[in-house]
Amino acid sequence: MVYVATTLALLKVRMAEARDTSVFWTDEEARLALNEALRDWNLLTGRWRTRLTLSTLAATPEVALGATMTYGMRVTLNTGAPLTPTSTLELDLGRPTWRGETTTSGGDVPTAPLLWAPQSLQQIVIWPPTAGIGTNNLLVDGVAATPVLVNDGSFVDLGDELLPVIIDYAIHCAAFKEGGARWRATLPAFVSFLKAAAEENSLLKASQAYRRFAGLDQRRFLQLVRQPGTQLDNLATLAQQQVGQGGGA
Amino acid sequence: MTDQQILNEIQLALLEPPDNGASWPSEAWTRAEVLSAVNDSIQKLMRETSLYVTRVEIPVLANATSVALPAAWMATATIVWRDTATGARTLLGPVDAFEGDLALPSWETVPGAPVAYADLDQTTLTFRLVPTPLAAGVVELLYVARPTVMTGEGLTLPMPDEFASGEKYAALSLLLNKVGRLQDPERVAYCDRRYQLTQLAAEIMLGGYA
Repeated sequence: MVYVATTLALLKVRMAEARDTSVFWTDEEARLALNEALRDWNLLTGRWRTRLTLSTLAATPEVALGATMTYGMRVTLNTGAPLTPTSTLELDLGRPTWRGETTTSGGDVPTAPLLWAPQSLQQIVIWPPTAGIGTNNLLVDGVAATPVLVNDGSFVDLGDELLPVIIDYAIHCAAFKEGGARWRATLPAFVSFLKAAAEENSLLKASQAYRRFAGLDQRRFLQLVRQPGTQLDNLATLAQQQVGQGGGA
Repeated sequence: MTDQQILNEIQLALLEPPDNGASWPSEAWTRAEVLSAVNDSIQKLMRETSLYVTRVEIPVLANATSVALPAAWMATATIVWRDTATGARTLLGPVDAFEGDLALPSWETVPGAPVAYADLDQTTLTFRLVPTPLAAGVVELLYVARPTVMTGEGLTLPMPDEFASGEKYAALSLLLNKVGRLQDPERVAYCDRRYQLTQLAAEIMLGGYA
């Protein structure tokens, strides 16, 4: 994917051009709308990534990720060995003794951390935790905080192919204050934004709720012979009509 | 992102002059009302997604019929019962007295090893173990704590910026749903869906791989 440093000034010009210069927002509103577009894009796709080097505490499964990482996606040891993702529910159900174990417990407990699970947004747990303090022994790849555009010279690394999606969403966001027909006319831009996000993030695409939200749940139309319609189909259609799609993707 | 920044965005969305949420000249809403909407939205997202959880261990005596929850408790994420003598851990499921009565009619009078918890049947900030514990143990509680109240004085929101849109639109939903001259059901429905989108994204992030 090609990245280019796109400045806030350029994004604002593109926003104005997209409305045939019928601008109904101030410079500051444009900046805030563009920042909202970027942070929502990062929320849905995890576009901006970072890697943290963390230390583990003695016999403590919890590892805090800190404020610079929104959430973790991959964890490895500093030796390069990857930890397998799981969940705390699986740990509690599958290995109830996990919390009291460490890398020196012996028996069938591994001698190095093997599993990790998200516990809350910026905290993960590992199993088994190290018996002593592990200095810089954990590498966590995850989603970084969204860059914030502050002045015209501020820039963000963004592929050119995403600019129309971001610009259209920003216009939709700026039009919210108008309400009525002008805002309603921008709703398809929001749906396009959601569809583009689902293309980037396979987890979103796999979520039935998100697919209904973004008007992507077309699979059922391909299975008419096997699956009769359900009340949920009507709900999805109504939801799509509400955002001005009329049931089509 | 600070509370003043989100108030500014809300002011712009409501055609109020942006001044970090200090004044609301339309008089459709008061500053306190908007702050309340922002705080309600933050608490709602926290409670419904367990975005941040706090872990605490609560010692419980044998035959205890009530266990106190932390003062900042807002919702329970998980509860694990750890038997003091054996160290055995059991993940407890949520039930209410009705379920307890049907599944285990003697749960209140005949102590045993807890298999569930009921946090809706007694006074607030307490819960019961089902059945009443026969031996002493420890409750490992993961709970959602009440977040810091936003005062509009430049406090940082208690979550990453990526969730600010969800907060903003949840607050706008409350404000635009107020019975009055600016009530706007169409935008309220949109705002509710925007909040749901943020909630869905949070659930995907936190769902783990179970």
